[in-house]
Parts: sequence; C-alpha cells; structure tokens
Amino acid sequence: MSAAIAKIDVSTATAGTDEVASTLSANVPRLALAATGLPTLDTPEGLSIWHDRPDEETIAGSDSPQVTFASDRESSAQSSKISPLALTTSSAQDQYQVRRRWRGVVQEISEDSFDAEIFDQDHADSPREAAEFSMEDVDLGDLSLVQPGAVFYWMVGYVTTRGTRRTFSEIRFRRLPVWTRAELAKLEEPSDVDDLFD
Amino acid sequence: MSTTSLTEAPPKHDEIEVSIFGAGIGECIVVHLGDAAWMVVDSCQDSGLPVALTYLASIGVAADAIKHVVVTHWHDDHIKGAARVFEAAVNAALHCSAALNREEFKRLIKANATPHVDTGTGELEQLLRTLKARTSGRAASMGPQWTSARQLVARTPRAQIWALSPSPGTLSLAQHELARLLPVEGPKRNVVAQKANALAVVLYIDFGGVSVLLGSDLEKSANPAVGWTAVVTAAQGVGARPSSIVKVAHHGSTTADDVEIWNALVTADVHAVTTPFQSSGLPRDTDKVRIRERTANAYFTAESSGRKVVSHDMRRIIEATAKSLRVLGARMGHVRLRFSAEAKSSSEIKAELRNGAFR
Repeated sequence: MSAAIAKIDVSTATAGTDEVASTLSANVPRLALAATGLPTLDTPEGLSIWHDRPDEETIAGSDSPQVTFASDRESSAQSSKISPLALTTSSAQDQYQVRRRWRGVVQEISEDSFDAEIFDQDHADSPREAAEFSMEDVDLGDLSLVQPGAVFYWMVGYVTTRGTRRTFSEIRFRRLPVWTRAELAKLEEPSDVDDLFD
Repeated sequence: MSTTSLTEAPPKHDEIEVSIFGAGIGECIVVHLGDAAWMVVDSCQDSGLPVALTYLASIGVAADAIKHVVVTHWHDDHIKGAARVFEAAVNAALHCSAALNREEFKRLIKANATPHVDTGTGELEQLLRTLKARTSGRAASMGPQWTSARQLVARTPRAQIWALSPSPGTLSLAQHELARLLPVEGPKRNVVAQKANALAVVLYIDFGGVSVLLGSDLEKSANPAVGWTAVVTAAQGVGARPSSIVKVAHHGSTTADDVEIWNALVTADVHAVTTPFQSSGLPRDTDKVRIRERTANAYFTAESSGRKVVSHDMRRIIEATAKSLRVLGARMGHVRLRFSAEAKSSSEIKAELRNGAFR
C-alpha cells in the first residue's frame, strides 16, 4: 500500500466519511490529486482519507498518488445521505463539483463496450439503473480490470479552471486485493454453512 | 376468456389461481393450489416488500397458508425477498434446485463472507438459516427439499406438482457450472452468475383438467441431456399433458425459446405470461412478436425497457459517457389467471391484468 495523504474540500457535507472522500478523490482528474496539501475547508469532522490497514483497496491508476480506502461495507456503514451538490474539491487551479456519482458492477462485456448495473451513491432508495459504456471511456490502465463482477465508480460534474467551467465525467475501476491462499483454503474448511444443506 | 380489472377477493376453495408478478427486474409466481393452500415460486419486491406477501395480505390470505416455497435458482431477480417470504410462511416446505446441493455452492456461500466479495448467495443463505432455525431438533426430513427432474414436489387434494428439471445431465454438469464461479487466485470481484440458468427448476402443476408450466430461466442447450430438450423428455416421463398456462422461460429470450415447448408442452391457445428483465432489455420487440405468433393469449407483466433518464442539467455529459442509460424497474405488473378446479381447457381460464400488465 502506498501511504498517500490527500485532503478533500467537502465544504458542506453532512457527514464526513471515508467513502465520500475516497470516491471523490479517486475520480477527480489526477492533476487535482497530485496537488499536495489540498486544504480542508469547513469540514465538520476534519476529513482525511487514508488508512493503514492490510485489507485496503486502491483505485486504479499509476501516475497519481494512490488514495486508499476501506471496504465498501465499512464505508456504507458510516455513510449517510450526502447531497452531491455539496461535494467539491479544489487544487491550486481547479475546483471540482461532483453532481452525480454511481457505483457500478460490470455485468457483460462485448468487444467494444460493457454493460453495467449502476447504483446512485447518494440516494440509496433510487431505482436500479443500467448503462452501457464504451471501452474507449475506460482508462488504459484500467482495461484489464473490466471483468464481469468488477466494481467501478462513475462521477460527473463540473470543473472550474480560472473561472471557466466545463463538465467532466470519469470512470475509475476498483483495484481490489487478491485472494490469499489462506482465504481460499478457508473456503474448503467445514463451517456452519455445511450444516444448512443437511 | 375475459380480461377485466382485478378484484380483491381470495379465490374460492375450488378455484385455482396462478398470479404472475413482474416489474422491470424480478418475478414471482403465487399459486392457489385449492382449499386455501398456496405455493410461492421465486420472489421479487415491490417498495421493499416481497410482492407475494403484499398480494396475499391484500386479498385477506395469511402467510401461514403458504405451504410451499420454491426457489428455482439463486439469481437476484428470482430470489429477492424470498427469505422474508419463507420466514413469514411458517407452515411452508422449502424446495431448491438439487444442482445447488454441492460443495461448490457451499464454497460460494462461504466466499460471500469475505471482504470485497459478493457472490449473490446471501439471500439463499438466509433462507437456509431460517429453515435451520425452524427445524432445529426436528426430523431431518424437514430440511430443504433438493428438487430435480421427474420428482414429485408435492401432492395436494387438487394438484400434483412435478419438477421437470434439473435433469440428471444438468446435475452432472452443475459441478462445472458452479466451479467456474468460484474464486481463484487473483483479484477479488463480485460474482455475476447470470449464465448459470441451466440449474433452474422447471415446474409442472397438474390440476386434473388444466395444467401449468412454469419455465423459470431455463434455456436451450445443444446438449439434449440438459435444457429444454431434457425437460420434454422429463415431461413425457411423468405423463405431463400440454399445459394451458405457461410462464415463459427466461423473460422470453430466443435462447429459451425451444419450439418443442410450444409443440409438445403447451396447448395451442395457451395463456403465456412473460416477465421482463430490463437489464438485458428482455423480451425484445422481436421476442414479443414471436410469442404472440405462438398464441393469441400472450401477456407481459411490464415493459422491457427502462425509462430514459429524465432531463436535468447533467444529462448531456451523462449521455456523452454512457451509450445508453436506463432506470430499471416498472410498476409491479400482475397477470392473474383463475379457473375452476374442474376446468378442462384454456377457454375456461379468466385472465385479469393490472398495474401495467398488457397483452
């Protein structure tokens, strides 16, 4: 794990969560992440977004500081509803405003595209959505991760640079830890699950 | 046959009902077997509640009238809420595909407890745990009924319920089907098991005069020992007569449309009900045309396409990235078919459509 520290401006977030910060940081362009010492503004809990745990995962991408975060399960337990309008981050030159963000699971892959079910990250009660994405929109470094069952994050919003606002859309795949031999061996061991089939 | 708006009253004791529910994702079939005994096949949810329980409550039927809960396979669109149905159905037996009673499937359940991994088996595990808690200290026969082809699932005074799949050939292949879903050394990821439809349970319900075929998600196969060819063989083996009602297999897809289903397993005027699977856009328009050509009594519980994302300020950039984007889900369409236990033909079946279901 590369221990990176990045701070995110979550100026009016109603809850400071690992998930918000990490998802945001993972999806804004790398240039923004590369900036050091991003200020934390008006953050109730004073967010920082790094962990030092063995089960951490990383967002794919090699030329930016690796931002790490805890598992979704841990994060979702901590998370509460956050308005996407509240999510902004800034570097010396750019200010990002995330307007919608989804967590996606790849369902099927064809030659030049993939189908996914996507889940609104900010409105848990939103209906399920399905989307088809072109492989061209996947970062080259992420292509090997596009497999059925793979999880990715998709964010869209605005980036303002020197007063000029434009839209951005970014898909980033999760780079999950690998199965360890011990974990695989555990699946072979007897457990109370076996009793359920009697 | 008449098509009317639905009335909310339970069927009489000598009246059979087959209610098929389906929104954009998920399907559930609720069957009155006669004499106030009910069976629930698969499950889906409406507003966070299992539609089977909601519906039965709406017609004044208590959950303890459910005598059988059948989980045809463990895919999300067929099992969501099944654990809650079974928990409420305190008098019910649980029937699952025998193809799942394997070490490989147990490993999939165990893998589900691993961080970062979702194998989609959580609901079935919960079902089995509910059953285990209920039957603790009772006879071993109270355990899950592992169902396979040519097996008499249940017999009631008015009905015989047979499983027509999984076939012996499928059971032999199940090890391979499940093993390819198991984790291997490498990155963790979720299990997307939509291809494992061969393991599904197809049911045949014989009411004496009218019979019913519930096709689950079973698809065709080039191997005659599995898929629909094997079902035709099994149907002959149990002496099945052509059914007057069919739940069309696998959301009306071409991959499940074996001509022998229409030639050998159902009547020419069969009431054919299809539920959509919007993630794949099933049934497609061509599928609907084909099904309508098969029978004049074709029903669909909901539309196949999700709604387009409504216009908003980010629509342009969203659509610039996603080649298509659909909101899944529709109203919980409901096709209700009722007939007398003495009925002999399709023409005696009364079809009622509601909540967006259509012909």
